[in-house]
Amino acid sequence: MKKKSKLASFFLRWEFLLVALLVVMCLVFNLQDAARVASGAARKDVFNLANVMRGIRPYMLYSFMTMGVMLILAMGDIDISTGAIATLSVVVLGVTYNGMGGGAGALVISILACLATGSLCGAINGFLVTRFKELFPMIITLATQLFFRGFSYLLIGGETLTFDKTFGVLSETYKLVNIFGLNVPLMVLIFLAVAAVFFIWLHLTSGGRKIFAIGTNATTARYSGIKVDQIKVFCFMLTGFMCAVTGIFFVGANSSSIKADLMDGYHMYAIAAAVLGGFSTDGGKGSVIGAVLSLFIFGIVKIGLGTLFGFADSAVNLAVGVILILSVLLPNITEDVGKLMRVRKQRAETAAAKAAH
Amino acid sequence: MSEYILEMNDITKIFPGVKALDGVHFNLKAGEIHALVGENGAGKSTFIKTLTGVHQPDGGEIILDGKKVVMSDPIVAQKYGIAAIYQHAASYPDLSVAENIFIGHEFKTGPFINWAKANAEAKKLLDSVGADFSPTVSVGSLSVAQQQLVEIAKALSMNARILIMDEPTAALSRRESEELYTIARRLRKRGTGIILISHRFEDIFGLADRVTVFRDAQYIGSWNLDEVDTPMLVHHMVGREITQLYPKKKTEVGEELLRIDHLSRTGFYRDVCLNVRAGEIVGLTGLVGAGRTEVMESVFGITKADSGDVYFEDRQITGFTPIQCMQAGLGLLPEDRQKQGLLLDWSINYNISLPVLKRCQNGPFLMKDKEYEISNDLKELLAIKAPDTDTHTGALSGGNQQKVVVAKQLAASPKLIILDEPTKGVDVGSKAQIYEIMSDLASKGLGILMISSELPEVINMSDRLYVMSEGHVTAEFDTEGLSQDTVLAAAMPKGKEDDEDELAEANA
Repeated sequence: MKKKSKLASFFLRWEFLLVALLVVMCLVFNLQDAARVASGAARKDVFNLANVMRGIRPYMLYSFMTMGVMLILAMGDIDISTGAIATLSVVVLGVTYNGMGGGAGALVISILACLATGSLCGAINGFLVTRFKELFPMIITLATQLFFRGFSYLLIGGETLTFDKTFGVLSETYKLVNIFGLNVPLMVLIFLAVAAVFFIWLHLTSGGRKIFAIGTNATTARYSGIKVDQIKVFCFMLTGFMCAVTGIFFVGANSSSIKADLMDGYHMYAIAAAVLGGFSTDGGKGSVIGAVLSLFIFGIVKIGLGTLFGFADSAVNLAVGVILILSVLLPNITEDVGKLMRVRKQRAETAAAKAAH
Repeated sequence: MSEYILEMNDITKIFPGVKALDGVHFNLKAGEIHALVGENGAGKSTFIKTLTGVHQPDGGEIILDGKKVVMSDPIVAQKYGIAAIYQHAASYPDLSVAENIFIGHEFKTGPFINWAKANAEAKKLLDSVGADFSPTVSVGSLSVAQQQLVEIAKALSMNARILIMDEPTAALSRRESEELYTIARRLRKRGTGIILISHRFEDIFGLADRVTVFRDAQYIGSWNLDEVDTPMLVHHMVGREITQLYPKKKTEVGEELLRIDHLSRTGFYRDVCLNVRAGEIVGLTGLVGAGRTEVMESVFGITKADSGDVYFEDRQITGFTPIQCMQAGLGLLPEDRQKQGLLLDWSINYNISLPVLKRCQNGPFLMKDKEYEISNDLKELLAIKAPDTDTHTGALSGGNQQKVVVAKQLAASPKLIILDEPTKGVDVGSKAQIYEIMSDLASKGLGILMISSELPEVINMSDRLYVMSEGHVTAEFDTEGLSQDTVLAAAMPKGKEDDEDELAEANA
């Protein structure tokens, strides 16, 4: 029998915990739902699969961005410019589209421009992070965040861009499609497909192994023949690309209007989801499945606390914060307790052996 | 009143999963240097930490001047006059020498620190340990040897009666080590009791009066130094006989593999020429900072040389990246196995397969079976001591960690490997095994370039030996019948002959 490595068994357990959390949450929300109906506070139950599927959409928008942030954290870096990249990318999308006078051709070209912008912004981050190793990625991406935000304002100022009817096609992604009798947002389906690709890449191929190696110890990775800088630039670029994708879905969701502060602060949600999923700024660990579960956990917490308990969306952030803190502390606590138990046991054994002596 | 200032009896310490100390004894007289030796993991460091109050023993007693004491924390130990200096000395690199010496017990005038007095007192202490630098420079700007002097001065400032030196010479050049010996002897004369931990037999036999051996967390015995010799000590440490420490085989030397041709990098090394042939073990020695590691980093593509060329099998590989070097058949075992060689959080298997992931793929997917096949084979070949290849490398002893790094290089099937300080911090049992591996590899036609500061090692294991000093190659020797003094003379920086004379005097 092969022993499971400590790393693997930890994450198996971690993902299990996330599933358990998800189940418990759903249970609590269902009970509350039933109680509300029974007490006459509500006419019928609202916490059901169909409603969750509909309600979760706003909280799944940053899921694409999270896939990128995941990579950055796995390498031991951080990127806090993702929200700003997403915004700048869609501003470019809007400006290009309207500049070309609209139409299907313009839409295709402007989407390409949007994706290119995101990738370019990511590449800039990657270049700066690998070129100036003495600076923290946190500071570099703080600077680029401000730069990208400023650039968005430079392009469209305080105005809100609106578009013609063809542009409305983007809203299709926000709609529900019927799969085996269940209405599922198209966006979620696309995301799950993308997440599957990321899962395979990160956990089953050598490319993913190299990313975790870089996050564990970049110097050793370099001495082991891994092209550390190249991979870093690529991952930052891919993150920028995923930000642009997030932006496109966001525009589809928000009645196709674009402002220069569209997704400010979005990077926080992406980082939060990745961290709850098991990634850490120390790098070298985390799992795609964990991150995906975390996205759903955050979404469902917001739906449940919002619709059933009547908390405002911003107030629910408090709960998200608490979950995050606990998730970061929990592994430490369990480890400490485990250590203590083992020492106690051994001490007792030694004492017993001495007594018998 | 007993003749000992310190007696530690029956000390036991338990950590999760391991008994780090199992009823060990140790005692120390005033004015003696008592060496504590044992392989890595024998429990020396834990033992010292129970004395300095970092760890609390789970059993046993500490007796100071005939009175039982409890070292509840490091401050208490300090108050009892116990001080320690370590291999990498710097405590507060950004603070000045005087600040480092008097931190925690500053001279005060009212609420303010009396700097004039602190600097003057620091100067006195520095003079007494033979240091010639100013008390106002920042400690980070000093060499490791000088930093250790600061630590010793600090110990003196606290009137330490018991001084623990933990691998003090590991990061020092030979000359610096000699200087440290002189100071240790001076302290002994004053009545300080010194506990010396070292892997170097030169340190032990050159300095200590008595020696205590630990093995596998247990007390093996204590001897006066004149009662033991090296083989006996090794036997006690390892628990088995090591018949031949340097098992160098004569091998057929083949074609030239590596040629470094007038390679220079401003500020690091200049005009370096050397070559290595198949089946040959070539040594490269010199003082710490002579530029040996820097040359190899450029050869392996970690840094860029300014001029000159590198050839491998007559093909120019100047400016190749590490992966290109590996593909060409060149491997580098880096100097710092923990920071550059290994991913300590990862298993042996994952570490070994890292440079050869390409070979473990089926299409885009990694094949676990293939990885295990490679790592299990190498674990067996190099006799890596671990339950299986899923064991974390962080949990291995220094010697076994080094073997994993060697395995990583071998996984890529190189034709030549550069070993940078392959036995640094490795205990004597594992050293012998690493030498044997080197010898075997050379006899199979592999070229080996070994960088090392340990003269007995390079002289006995190499066929040829290059010596570097101040960034360039000063000599090339055939190692047959070569003496350490000849090598040392070539390694000394020019214009420092005076120092050498002083050194000879100190030894006399």
